[in-house]
Amino acid sequence: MKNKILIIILLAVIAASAFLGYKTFLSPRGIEGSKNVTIQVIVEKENIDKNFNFKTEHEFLIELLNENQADLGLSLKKYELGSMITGMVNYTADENKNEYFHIYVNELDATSGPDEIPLNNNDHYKFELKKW
Amino acid sequence: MVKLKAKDIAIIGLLSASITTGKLVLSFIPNVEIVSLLFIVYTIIFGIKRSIVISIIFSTTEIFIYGFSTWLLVYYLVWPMLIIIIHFARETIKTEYGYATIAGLFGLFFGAFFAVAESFFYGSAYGLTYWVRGIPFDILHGVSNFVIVLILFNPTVKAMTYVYKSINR
Repeated sequence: MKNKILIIILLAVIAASAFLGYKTFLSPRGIEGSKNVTIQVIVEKENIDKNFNFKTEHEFLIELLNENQADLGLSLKKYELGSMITGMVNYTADENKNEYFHIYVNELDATSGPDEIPLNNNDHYKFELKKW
Repeated sequence: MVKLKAKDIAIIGLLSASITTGKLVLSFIPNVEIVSLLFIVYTIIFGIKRSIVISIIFSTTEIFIYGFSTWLLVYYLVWPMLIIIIHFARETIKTEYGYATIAGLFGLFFGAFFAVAESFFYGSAYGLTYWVRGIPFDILHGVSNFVIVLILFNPTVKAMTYVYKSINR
């Protein structure tokens, strides 16, 4: 049992080092400075297609969303993994109908949640209600 | 073609349910699961054929629970792959450390298996990004798999051996 505990401790140290390495070299990085970005929200079944333009100093999308929560009619859930958008323009995605807000960055599928999407000048972020 | 007796069908049903339950119980902790441990133990105790049938039932149940997604298709490949690896490795592995290592590596590369599959649907760039974004979760999956199998392998084998002997009396 003593050996197992030692191996687990050693493994925890290796894992912590690997996390640190990921954070340092591979995780997305924010860019400092002023940016002009557009947020588009589409809820087709409600005939909603709205554009919001922002000038911001923030580095990640989640910071911009949080700051403009009221204007965007935004609601979100926070998980240990990050934030999940549950509502935009005061429309809440109905989980029972498998609805969710799909995020596009410059018309490409986002590969991470809003917590990890860095803001770049002239970027276009689209939130479209979809079903999974 | 796998020929199953009534007893096999009953035990496969129970073991499939135990895997789905085991997954749901730990689903609140991201990438920490006992599914790998159970498939390893089931393969050793109940054999490759029954375990592969269990993996197919488990994967299909996942679709009923979560709805159809491309990532669920990969379940039909990765769990039988683990079962086949264990089936062939069991002759050479003598202690729980060997199984813990296999489970750890399986967890570590879990995201990579899905990234390959996602590449077929959405392109290699998406697959690569998918894998890189998931590396922290793969590390957690690998480490937790190793620790879970290292600690729980022997007691689970003991319990399942008792079950196996009971149904074969």
